[in-house]
Amino acid sequence: MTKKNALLSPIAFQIVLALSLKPRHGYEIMKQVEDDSQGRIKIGPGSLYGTINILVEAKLVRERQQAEDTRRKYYELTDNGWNTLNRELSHLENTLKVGQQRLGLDNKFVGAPA
Amino acid sequence: MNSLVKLYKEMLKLYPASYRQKYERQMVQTVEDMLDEAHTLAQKLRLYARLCIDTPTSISKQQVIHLGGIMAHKTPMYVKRNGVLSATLLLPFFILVVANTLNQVVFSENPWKPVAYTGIALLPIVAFVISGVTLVRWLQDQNKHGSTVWASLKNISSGWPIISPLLVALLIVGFVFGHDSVHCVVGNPVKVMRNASQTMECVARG
Repeated sequence: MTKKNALLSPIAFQIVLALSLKPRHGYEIMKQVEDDSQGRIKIGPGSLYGTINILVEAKLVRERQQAEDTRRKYYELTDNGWNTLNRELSHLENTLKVGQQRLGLDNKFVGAPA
Repeated sequence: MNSLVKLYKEMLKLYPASYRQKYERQMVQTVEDMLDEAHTLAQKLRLYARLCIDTPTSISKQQVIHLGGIMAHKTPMYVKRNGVLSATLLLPFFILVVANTLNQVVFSENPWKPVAYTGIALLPIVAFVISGVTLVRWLQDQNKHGSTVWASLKNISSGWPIISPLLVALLIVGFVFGHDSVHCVVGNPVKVMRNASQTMECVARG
């Protein structure tokens, strides 16, 4: 993941996406990930902080203290994190285009819409 | 404090110390936040189920990452190389045991007997010698850095690549050249090869 142009894992991508709105603490990230994935991705604290650790080491995310909430650590995207998110989104956009073209051109294999 | 949080705190002790130091407080806080929003019994049960799956998985993953990191950065190259070499030399023993179980390879006459003797008796001795010498050299290196022999042996996280093949080789050599008392129980392979009929009688007697 630290290699240039390497893709993020699905959980790492969802966490980065969750942090694109504002800095968040652990539980907020978990809830946002669940909302963004329409409930398909539910992560526990172990997986959450394991992935955050990887993202922090890769310098995509950094810790941030909020004066009004000293009990929790907040996390935010770094410049590198923003670049990675943009790259991931454009990759997904390309994949979506390819998928849509394929469905339109070759619909006999996937079933044509009624 | 809620009993689930207490239990969770105990489970966090199974994480590597460096990881725990960084994230323990935040993980406990997150569980407390989750509990605050779990009002009904069903919500609480879902939370318990999620933690039951997530925590052991995450602990195993972090321990593997931790051991991998130690092996990559702290274990000397000669320990890793000789550990792999010793483990490779032990493999034929297990392959022959399985082959013998399946097809009585070791009982049969030539050409299997020399192969069986090499795999069962000779290679484990070579593996034992290589891993033993490597362990002694590693302990001497540790001693130069001010660590006692006992402290080094207890530091299993960096010595396991050589300690584990040494122990396995020791067990195999012990079984192969060992005593008659285990013969009937485990089927001492050398004795089995030497005198199959007596072994079968011994097994039949129980």
